Formats: sequence, C-alpha cells, structure tokens
Amino acid sequence: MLEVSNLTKHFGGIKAIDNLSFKVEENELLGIIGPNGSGKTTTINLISGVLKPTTGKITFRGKRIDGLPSYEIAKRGIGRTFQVTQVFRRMSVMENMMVPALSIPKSDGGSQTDHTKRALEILEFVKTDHLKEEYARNLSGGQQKLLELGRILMLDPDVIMLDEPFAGVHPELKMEIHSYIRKMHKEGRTFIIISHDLQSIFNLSKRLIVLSEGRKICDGSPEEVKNDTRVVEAYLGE
Amino acid sequence: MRYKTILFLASSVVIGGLIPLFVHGYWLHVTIIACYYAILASSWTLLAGYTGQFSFAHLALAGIGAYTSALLVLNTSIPLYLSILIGALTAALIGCLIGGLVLRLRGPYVALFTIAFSEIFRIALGAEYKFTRGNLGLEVPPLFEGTSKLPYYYTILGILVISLLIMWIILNSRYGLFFRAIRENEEAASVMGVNVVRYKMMAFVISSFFAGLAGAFYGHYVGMLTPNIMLIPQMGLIIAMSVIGGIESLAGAVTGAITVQFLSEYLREYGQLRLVLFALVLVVVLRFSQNGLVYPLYQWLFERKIRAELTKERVKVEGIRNAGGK
Amino acid sequence: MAEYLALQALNGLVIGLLYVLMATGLSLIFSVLKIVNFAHGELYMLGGFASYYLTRLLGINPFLAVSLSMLIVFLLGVIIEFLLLHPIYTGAIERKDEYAILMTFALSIFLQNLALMIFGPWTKNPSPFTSGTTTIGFLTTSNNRLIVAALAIVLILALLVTINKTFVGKGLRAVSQDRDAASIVGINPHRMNLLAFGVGAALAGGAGALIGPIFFVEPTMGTLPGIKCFVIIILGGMGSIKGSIIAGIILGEVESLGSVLLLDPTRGLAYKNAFGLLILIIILLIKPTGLFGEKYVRME
Repeated sequence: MLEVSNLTKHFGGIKAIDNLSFKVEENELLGIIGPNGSGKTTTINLISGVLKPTTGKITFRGKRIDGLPSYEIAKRGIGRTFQVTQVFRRMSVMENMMVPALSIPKSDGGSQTDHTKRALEILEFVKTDHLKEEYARNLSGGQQKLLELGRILMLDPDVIMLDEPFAGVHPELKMEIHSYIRKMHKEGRTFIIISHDLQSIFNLSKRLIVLSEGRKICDGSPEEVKNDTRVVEAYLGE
Repeated sequence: MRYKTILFLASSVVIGGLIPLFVHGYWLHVTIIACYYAILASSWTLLAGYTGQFSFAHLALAGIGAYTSALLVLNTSIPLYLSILIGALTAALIGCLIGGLVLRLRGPYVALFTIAFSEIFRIALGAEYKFTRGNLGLEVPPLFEGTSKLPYYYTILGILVISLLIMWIILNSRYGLFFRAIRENEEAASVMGVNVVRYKMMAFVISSFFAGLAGAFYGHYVGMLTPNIMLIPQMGLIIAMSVIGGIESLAGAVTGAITVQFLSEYLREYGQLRLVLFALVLVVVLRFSQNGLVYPLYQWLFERKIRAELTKERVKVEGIRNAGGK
Repeated sequence: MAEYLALQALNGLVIGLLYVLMATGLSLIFSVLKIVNFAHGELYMLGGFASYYLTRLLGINPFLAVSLSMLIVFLLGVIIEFLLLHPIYTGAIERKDEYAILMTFALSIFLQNLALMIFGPWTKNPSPFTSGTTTIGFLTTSNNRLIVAALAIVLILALLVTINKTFVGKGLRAVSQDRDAASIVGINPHRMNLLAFGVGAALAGGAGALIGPIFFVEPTMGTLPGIKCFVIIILGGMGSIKGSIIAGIILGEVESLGSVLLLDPTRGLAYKNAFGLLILIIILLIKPTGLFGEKYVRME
C-alpha cells in the first residue's frame, strides 16, 4: 500500500536518511523505533510531505507522493500527528476538529451539522467532548495529545502516522491511547507509529522497523528485533 | 451571537447614513478619510491578523489602484466607474503576484520583501514623472461633479459597508477557519489538509482588491496623487490602527482606524507631537496587550460572562467524572 | 570619464564601509536575539544627531563625539532591549516573531517622529573631522572621507576582535548558537541580549555619527539605510559578519556606479536607492538564506 524506496535525505552535510526502503501493507500496524537522531521523525516528515526527499521515491497505492505538498498527501488519506503537539492553540477544540473536517471534500459530502455531530462523536470517543468550547492552549498536555488524535480521525485517513503518541503521558492516559489505537486499527486503518516507549510498541505492533543513523537495521517481529544484536548495539553503543 | 452582530451592523449603517446631518465641511472630509483608512486597516487585518502574512505593501497596492484608475481616466476613454473597478482588479492581480512570491518566505522576510516592493514602486512612480507627474502630483478627475462632499461620503460609506460585509462573510465561513489555522500553525494546517497555498493567496487577492478599491476612490476624491501616499510611515499608520484596534478582528481594525483618525484630527493643533503620541501609544499597547486595545476590551466586557458560565459547566462535569471513576 | 568613475567607486567604498558597520550591528542583533530590528535605521539617525549636537552645541572634538555618540546609542539600545524586547525571552509573548516585527517597526516610527518633533525636519551638519583634500594618483578626495573610511574600518576590526578573541565575545557567540546550552554553562542570556542589542545599536549609531560630517543629518535619514542593512545581511547571509562585509561593499559600489552607468542621469539618480531593494527582492526569491548565512531561525 505504502512503499518507500531508496529514500535519502540530506540536511547540509548531514545524512539524516540513508537509502531507506520498506513497505507497509494495508491494515498493518508498523512500529518504527531507534535511538535518538536515527531519522524516525524525518521519515514521517518525508512521507507526509513536510520535507522533500533528496533522492528516492515514496508511493502510495501505486502513485508517487514524494515531493507533493502535505495538504495533497493528507487529501489522499495519510494523516499524522506531531511529537510536540501542534494543536491550533488559540482556536477552540471544536474549531480544531472542524479544520480537517472542512478542508477536504469528503465523498459523502456532509453539511455543517453532520460534521459537528461527527466531531462530537469523535471527541466522545477520546473523552474530551466536555472541552469542546475550550481554547486548545488551555488543555493539559495529555488532553492535547487526545485532541490531535481526534483531529486526525476527523480527517478520516486510511493511514495514520503517530509520532511518539505515548511521550510525556501518564500511565493511565497511555492505556487509553493504547485502546484507542487498537480500536481504530480494528476499523481497518493502517498505522505507522514511532515510539521510544518500547514496552508499548512491542505490545501493539506485530512488525517493527529499527532505524539507526538513517538506515534500516532490522525489520521484523518484536521477538526478532529484541534478539537482534545490531539493535542492541545501536541502542547501547554509540 | 450572530443576531447581535447583525443588529450592530445594521445600526452602524443607519448611524453612518445619518452622520451628514450633523457633520459638515471639514469634519465630513475627516470622516470620509476615516472610512478610507477603515477599509485599508480592515483589509490589512484580514491578511495579517488572519493568515499571519505581515505585508507592508498594502498601501502600495492602494496606490496601484489609485494610479491605475487615474491614468486610465486621463489617457483613455474608459468611463470613470469602470476605471475604478479596473484599478481595484489590477491591485488584486499584483497582490496575487506578491502573494505567490512570498509563499515560501517566513515572518520578517515577508515584511522585508513587501517593504522593498513598496519602496521600489514608490521610487519608480516618482522617477517616471513623464507618466505619473511624480512628486509634482497627478491631477485626478473627480468622481462627482460639484463641490458637495455628500456623494463622496455615501460612496465611501457604501464601499466600507460592502467590503466589511464581504470580508465578514468570508471570515465566518470555512475560509476564515482555514485562515486562522494558517496563522496559528501553518505546518499543522497543511497536514490537516488545508491548501495553505491557495488560501494564503486568496487572502492576498481579497485584501489587495479592497485596498485598490479604496485607493482608487481616494484618488478621485482628493483629486491629486503623489507617491507619498505609500510612504512606509503611512503604512505604519495603517498597522497602528489595526494593532491598536485589535489585530484579530475586522471590527477592531475599523474602530482603530476611526479612533486614530479622529483623535489625530482633533489633536491637529499639536502638530508633530500627536504623531509621537500615537507611536508611543502603539508601542505601549503592543508591549502590554499584544491583541490590541479595542477588541480585547470588548471581549473582556462582554464575553467574561460567557467564559464564566463555561468554566462552571466544566468544573461540574469534571466533578461527576472524577467521582464516577474511569 | 575614467576619473569620474574611479571617484564614484571610491565614494562607493566609503559608503559601503558605513553600510557594513551598520549591517554588522544588525547582524549581531539577529545572531544573538534572533530578531530582525526594524528600528536599526533610526538608531543610526540618532547617532548622527548625537554627534551633531555634541560637536556643534558642545564644541566637542569630532573624534571624541563619535565615541560619545556610540555610547549614547549603546545605552539607548540597552534600555530598548530591557523595556520592550525582554518579554520575548521570558515567554510572556505569544507570537514572538510577529511581536518583534511590530514592536521594532513601531519603535522606528516613534523614534523618527520624536526626532522630527525635537530636532525639526531640516538638515543639519555636524563638524567635519578635518579639512583639505588628498590626491592619490589622479584621484582627489576630501580628507574627511578618508578619515571616515579609516574610522569605519577601525570599528569593524574592533568588533571582529571583540567577538572572536574576548571572553565576552565568546559569550555572545555561545548564546547565538544555543541559548539554553549557554545558560547551562553559566552565561546569562539576558545579559548577552542587552549587550548584543546595545552594541548593535552603537554600531549603527557610529555609522550615523560618521556619515554626518560628510553629508548631513536629518530625522528621516534612517529609513533607507535601515532597509539597505537588510539587503546586506540577507545578501551576505543572516548571521554572517564576513558575508556582511563583502555584501556591504558590493552594495555601496553598485549604488555609486549603477546610478551613473545605467539609465539616463536624471532617472539614474532617482533609482539609486532602488538598486539595493531590487537586490533584496531577487535574493529573497532565489535564495532566502543569502550567500553565506544560516536559514532564518524561528523563535518557536
């Protein structure tokens, strides 16, 4: 469904991504892990159009998407969250939800009231509906993460890329996010999740890709990854 | 809330229409100029306050509208009303061009680029005096015959009301939501599917059209055009009006424009001092109230009650939630 | 003709050096505070007026007046940073970039109008450094200009030495590279801010004090040079002092020679100021990071 081929990204003299290739199948839940600076977020930035690759290509459902602006990619059904939450701070929660609702003409059309209803449903799903009129900046960090999750659902993408969804989140909320991801995955969506929280990601995904210094050093099940010496080295040694 | 706004608008229009009964001569002129500034300030707010593009070329665009219209009337047989429209459209076109050029630029680079553009245009207008009469002044045929200011007043009032209406409708639609999202966080907006390119340029085109329209009117009202109308300090005046009034609302910009203009005239006898005072007010307002004076005041006065009720509601719900456990 | 061009080139060099002096100040402010100072031109203007009043009213020696003017503008810069810009770095301001643009721009309007009110709109002439002319080969130029050029070079060199060799300079460079890291090792970023803005302002003021004796001073003299400084630091690269030096001299030459070589004389002169602006626009379109410098750093 989504294929990354020979992707390279240079920042000045630094090679952030070095000849990276992998495939993601429909309805997979892929985890991407690796030590700091290994290029995880850069990969997502490249797929979502925030960055343009130096060389290589990215195809989604057979069509190339590398080089497209991120709104085009969002239109095609790939959504993402950010490591540091990027909610629209001085807009209300409801308005935050309405932006992705209205930005892309959906196949089923939908009037304002339809969108509002759906937004409320999603907010209920992530248990933040009581905050709907609140300014996003007044939300706690955890609530903002939930809002980002809700926002992405409003986009209704087939592929959801989460960048550190568990970072800085207390254990209770972590369990909630866990269950939301599981539920959404069951609905048929494809997930790519970056996380440092190895426990969570081992639990969630059946397949992991390990990055180190911009290169893929392992691609397999959590068991395989856990036992791979290269992975252990990458995390421990430098 | 929408009902309140309509009421407010309607009453403003009525009051505006009745003003000439009480105001004559020089002060009617001041009112006309105030309306001119109000159109400029509010259209600038749409661009800067809503999409976050701080363009300093706004007055240059007004000047483009003014000079285009004037030169068309003087040199061709195109009727005056059409010239004004063409002037506004030309400004919109150039605004579109500028918008396209600054798309990749951020923050101060947009300001620098547009300052440079504005100055180059002003210098060129002055230098090409064979066409434009440069700093000697271009005489512009008046919009109406006779010496009465009344038709001018109603025209500019009409333009102001219509432009505000159009901008208000746009800003309260999904486009307004997208504009604000772009200003808040352009990257996040894009990732959420907002075509930031299209909407940033849309803002430029709309605001430039109204700037050009106002400029064209100005030329045919005052009867004389020089490149000095687009001096950077003049642009600073527009920005001051918008900021003092409240950079995030059209109403704020309009109020700011009217307030500054009238105060400025009222204090005219103090000469240079009033400009110093306004600049000082601007600095102080910016320093302590980044969102301006007028609109935040309004929010504080009228929306405090609503805020309080929402907070009470939230506390109640949280209480129930916490008591029931997860 | 060759003589005329050479003379223009020499003038271009002198002006270019003053642009460089002013632009280095702006570059320093940008490096450390990460903001673009739209009031830079007005600081230049105030330096010019300070030197005027010091030399004409108080009869102070012109060389001393330059130093004093720089000191005065330095103090003004420190006050400005403390009162108006400090909140940016304490987290009190929501949209930092916007605030910086608007505040420095508002400040420039305020200072310009204040100057118009206090000093009046007419031009004034500070005392020249010296009189007489010097002839080098076939070129004759006033000694005044030579001294101005020399002083400008001295000041630029002094700045380079300070930045690269002194402890304080290290502190400035540290903060410009990584604010948080610098504070962890004990450098006070707020103090560096004050210093950087003060010194940057002083450099502009110095340029103003130097140009007064060879041209004149008047309250609106800062607007165009202010914009030209942007041209220079964008051309040379935001944050690169070396780049500013090269770019400043290029601009000085382009203006001097361009206005006589291109176009007819009357329009050429009118367009003189537009060259720099045109360069700015072209650079921003092609390569917004300039020839040497770093990409614009957003503050949030």
